Amino acid sequence: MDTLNVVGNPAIHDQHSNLILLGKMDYACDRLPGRKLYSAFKSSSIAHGAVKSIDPAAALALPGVKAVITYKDCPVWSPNIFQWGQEVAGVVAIDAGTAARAALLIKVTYDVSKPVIDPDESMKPGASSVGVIQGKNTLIANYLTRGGGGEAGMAKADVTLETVQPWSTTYQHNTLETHSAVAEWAGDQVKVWCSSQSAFNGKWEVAAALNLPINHVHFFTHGTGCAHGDKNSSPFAVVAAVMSKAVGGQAVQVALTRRDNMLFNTRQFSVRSAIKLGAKKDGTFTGIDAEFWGDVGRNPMAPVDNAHFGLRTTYTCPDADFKVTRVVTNTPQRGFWRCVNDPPGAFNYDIAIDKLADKLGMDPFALRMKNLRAPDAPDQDPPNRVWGGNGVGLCFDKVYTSSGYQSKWHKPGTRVLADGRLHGIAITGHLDSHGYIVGSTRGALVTITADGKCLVNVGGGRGSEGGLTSCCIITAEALGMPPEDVVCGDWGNTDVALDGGMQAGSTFTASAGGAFYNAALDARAKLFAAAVNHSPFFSLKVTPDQLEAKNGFVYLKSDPSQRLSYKQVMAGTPPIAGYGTGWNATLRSRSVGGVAQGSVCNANGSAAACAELAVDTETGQVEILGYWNAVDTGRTIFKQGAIKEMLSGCELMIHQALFAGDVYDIPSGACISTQFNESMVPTAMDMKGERFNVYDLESDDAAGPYGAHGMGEPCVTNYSAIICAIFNATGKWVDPEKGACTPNKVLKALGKA
Amino acid sequence: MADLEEQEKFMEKKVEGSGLSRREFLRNAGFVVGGASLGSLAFLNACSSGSTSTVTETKTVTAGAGTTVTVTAPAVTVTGTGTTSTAPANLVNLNVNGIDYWGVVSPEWTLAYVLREKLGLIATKRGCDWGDCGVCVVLMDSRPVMSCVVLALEASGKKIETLEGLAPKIGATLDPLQQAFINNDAMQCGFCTAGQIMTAKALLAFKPSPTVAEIKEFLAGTICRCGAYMGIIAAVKSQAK
Amino acid sequence: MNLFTHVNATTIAEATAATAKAGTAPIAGGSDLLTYLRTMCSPNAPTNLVNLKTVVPSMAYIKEEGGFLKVGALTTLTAIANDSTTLAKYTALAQAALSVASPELRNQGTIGGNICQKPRCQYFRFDNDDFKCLRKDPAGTCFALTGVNTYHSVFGPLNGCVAALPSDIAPVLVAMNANIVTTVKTWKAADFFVVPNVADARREQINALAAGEIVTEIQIPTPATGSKSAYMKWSFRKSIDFPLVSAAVLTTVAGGSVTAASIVLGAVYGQPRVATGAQTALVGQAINATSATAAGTAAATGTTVLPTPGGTNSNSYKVQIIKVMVQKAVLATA
Repeated sequence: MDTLNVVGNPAIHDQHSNLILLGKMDYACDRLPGRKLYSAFKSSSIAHGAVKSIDPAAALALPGVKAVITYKDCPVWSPNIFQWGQEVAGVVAIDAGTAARAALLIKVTYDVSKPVIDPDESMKPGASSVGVIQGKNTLIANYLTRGGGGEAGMAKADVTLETVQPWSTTYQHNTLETHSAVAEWAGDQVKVWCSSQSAFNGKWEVAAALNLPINHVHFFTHGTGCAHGDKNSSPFAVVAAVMSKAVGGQAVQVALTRRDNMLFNTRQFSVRSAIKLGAKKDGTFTGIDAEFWGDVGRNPMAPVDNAHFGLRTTYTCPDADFKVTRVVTNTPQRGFWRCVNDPPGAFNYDIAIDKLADKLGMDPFALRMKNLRAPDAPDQDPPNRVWGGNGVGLCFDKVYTSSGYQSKWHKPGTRVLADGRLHGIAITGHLDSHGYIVGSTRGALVTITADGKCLVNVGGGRGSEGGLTSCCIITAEALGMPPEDVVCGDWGNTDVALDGGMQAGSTFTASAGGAFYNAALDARAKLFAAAVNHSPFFSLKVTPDQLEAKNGFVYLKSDPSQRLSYKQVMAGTPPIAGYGTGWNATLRSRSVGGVAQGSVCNANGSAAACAELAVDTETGQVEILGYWNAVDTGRTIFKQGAIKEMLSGCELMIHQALFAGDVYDIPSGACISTQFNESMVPTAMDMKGERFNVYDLESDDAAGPYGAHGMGEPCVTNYSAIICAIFNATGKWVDPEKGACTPNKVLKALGKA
Repeated sequence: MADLEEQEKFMEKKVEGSGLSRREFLRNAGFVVGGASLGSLAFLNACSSGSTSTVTETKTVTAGAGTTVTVTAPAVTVTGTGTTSTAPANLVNLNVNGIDYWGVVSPEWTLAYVLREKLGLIATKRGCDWGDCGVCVVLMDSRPVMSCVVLALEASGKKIETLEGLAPKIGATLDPLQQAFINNDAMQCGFCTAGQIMTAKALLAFKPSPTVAEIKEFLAGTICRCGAYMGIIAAVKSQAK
Repeated sequence: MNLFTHVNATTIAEATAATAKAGTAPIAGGSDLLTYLRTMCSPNAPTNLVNLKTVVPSMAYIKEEGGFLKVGALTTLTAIANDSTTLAKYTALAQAALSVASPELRNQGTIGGNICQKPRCQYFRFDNDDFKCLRKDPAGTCFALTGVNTYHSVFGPLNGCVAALPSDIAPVLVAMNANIVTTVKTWKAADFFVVPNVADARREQINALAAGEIVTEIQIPTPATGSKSAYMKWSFRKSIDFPLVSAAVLTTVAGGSVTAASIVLGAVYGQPRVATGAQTALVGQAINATSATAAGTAAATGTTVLPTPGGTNSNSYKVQIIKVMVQKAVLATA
């Protein structure tokens, strides 16, 4: 590996800490205080049907109301209702309370159709139509056959397991900042501040929805109050722009109430499966026949298609069938949320693997290792891509050894702790469908200023995990500048930055970071070219390729004492030499031992987790005794950010396994867990953070800058380790009932409720 | 920010994102500050809609260094289910970070709403509007409260502290607790940070050497959705005496 | 937020006169009332609020006097939880106060407000009154009876409603035989938490207060020598949550065995549920694992688990938890 000075340096903290700690980080609703109007929505009180009439007269008559818009005015709204709580109208008023009171006065009548809330009902032949796909409720998403198919594999097996997994949890992440936007018009141009992860996505969305030239939309996103994929799309930016237009261009704020935020926005998929596994007596897989169904809510395009990805790519099996089917229901849309299909998919197939191990009388970790795909082996399915190398194996090894699993594992339901509770432990891991370099272009702009320092403008928003800091680190490393000399100028500002894609999610450091890597190289090359024309190098007749840069100095490789500071170089150059632009299209190809291996490859992230826990059989309460989370980062760019991300991964996996779950009122289709205290967000008291152990593993196999992978999604996926550990403790499988393994369900599994 | 000079500087500074000086901003919002440059105000937008002005009340209050300000405010009439009633004008005096603000509020305005939208103090966030998440925590007479379930009217006369008050004067170093949040990477998106810091500040004042268990208990009302609890707890623990 | 007028009462007489008017309610800490008003969940919302915090003399105090612990109705839950006398001699009350919500809400919330909070049910509380529930409108239905009822009563409906008592303080007051002093009379706690019939205008109350009647003081008799009390609360999360099951226990022990026992359950029925069978089982026994378990088992008899669609998210777990909480609370008084 190269010797790196800035990349991975643990002394570097988040660039924006100060701004946040001084209360000066601006989130969308912090913009234009004192000169904006406020808004509220009227949302549907049916889950399926169509708006027959809307009468806003009473709302408009309320003093303080400035405008009412309906689905007729707003291109992202529709009269066709596919879920309970769908927006059909909105009110603009002098304060938020007035708008909310006015919204209640809007009279809406509907043609009501039968809603389909339960995905099992939706899948049944002859089921009522959900209405979002013509004539049916399911869409085949991703079917593939390997070798002779699953059936052929079963024929070769000594032992087969057949299991139907119940629906996994579906939930809205409940970001602290609800979806928000502030918009105002100046003539035929609109400015929008939005709580979006992707400024440019927002810009395209607004331009397309309002049929505006793209350069008439100015989109800004600074602070984003937690997102994890939920704030990729910006429909409320469009709504704010429409509302502002309705009041003559005056600024209007859209800030969803907690209820509206919970009712309407993207949530995690609920996935169920029917899995057949065939194996030899020694555990070698002979066949897999795995069918997954993803409840995608009212969004037939929701990306659940890779629910089987980890099962398909982490393990070797010659004959297999993998199927994923999308099932629509009259419930809120599923989609981007802190990973897409991997967590619920893994939750399903990891349980199946553990069930097979139990049937074989094997340690489930040994069963996994028996079938782990060899490092560097190409994918078993077309187009037989070369994945990132051995990351998943490294992760499995790390959690296995660091947790002391070998001495702790026991047959299910056989170890009682001194206090009478049952002890359980499990390891799960996977190669993730995320973390790779996505196709769309990311751009970067770096400016070396006259004082020899560097300004970077990042096109993405500021999500949670410090991707902006990562871009600065990459730039500093590539330029050979000390980290404190590279600062993020503006970001998430479509007027001054290039498209940086979606901040947060697994791809930002690898993709936008890759663009910054190339932009820095561009600027560096220009400066080297300038430096050779500048005393004293000129007299030495050096060429740019004889130069190197480090710690803010450009020097002669052959004689590092011959050097100039960046400031000195800049003093002798026209300002144009200080700019660099780059895109992520020309990234490093995969390397083995530093040697490039052909063209750019997918460099997916991978991770493994071990959960050790105690189950109180009297109350059903589960206590995490230890949690080990190892993530293949390829190369860790922002060390503190990576640690923070993995620790938060532990928290979020515990949340997903033990707490999270939307609750629907079946007759109406309303999600009635709309407040925090009903969606059971864990508090500081619910976390035993001192028992978390996290490891960022570097695998030298990646295509991102300096070999970086995305890591955000792999590190939250292995929440299946918790339900498997509950099985190891109790010998019983908990039915999550479309939610988490809360104590009531643990008691039910134990026959006590 | 107790002294008048500092307050004056604060009033002349632009309110972030508004394009107005704080003094102009406040005037538009129907508020004045005690101390200097007081004047008579008409509270054009002081009362929310749905109310009708029926009575006018005038109050003369003494503010700051013996200066007086005359405040004229309309009374509020509320029409509800079967009842109509009129209440006297709702004049409040909010002492926020050592500055006295005077103005008229609509009865249903919460402290969080007034801090953010009328005083332009946006460090305090709005999360759930129902006392559940803790992003709006401020100190009221030194105790942390959820400002989204405190009526601005009932905060009148109380001493309110927000993150802006903790933030140092320009050029000064950060408060040690703020620095500890940086050192421990105790935030991700930053939306909960103001609530966490204000709550932790109160804890450390009330109990200078809290245990980890006590820290967790005290911070149980301030939720973090990014998963930064470990950093937050470590940051607060590092400030234990 | 619903609109309302707001006045600061300066005397309790003024507050009483003001709240006697239709559509008028007192406001103490406000943490429950304001969320109720903010969500605009009820057509019965008051349109006038009378602030009790400005009443002189202040109703925030804790004192021992005349054989009682006297707690002013406006005393915050934080003050009660931190009071050393309360913790030492009226332990269950201090424990219950500490278990409510979060530190911030305990700084605002008062003991009077805690026993006058509105019902807690997702349907009742749903923003914008989208579910016309029985507690809000006598012509409505109880949606939880056949819908989502994970948190609800396991002792059947009360006046048709299956919402469970949300107050942590209420079961303690019944267990400790407290007096609830109002501007009208002095109630025995057991008579106070009687939920009015839905036909009654007071249908949204969890107690029997008349219009204009304001709680001014809570009086808890000093427990007899040899007595100990405990409050145990169970919920999915470790904090913030409303109780899903709670048990308040007061035992008096003489000569190694229990001479008197008071065991009251919270959050399992529309009002505090006196576990008479458990009390009978415990009296005459020494407090130990066997007697505590027997008390727990007795407390969990006579339950009616609610039906749920497809059998998911049932509330049957509460029966098991009652056993455990009663057992633990009894043992804590040993």
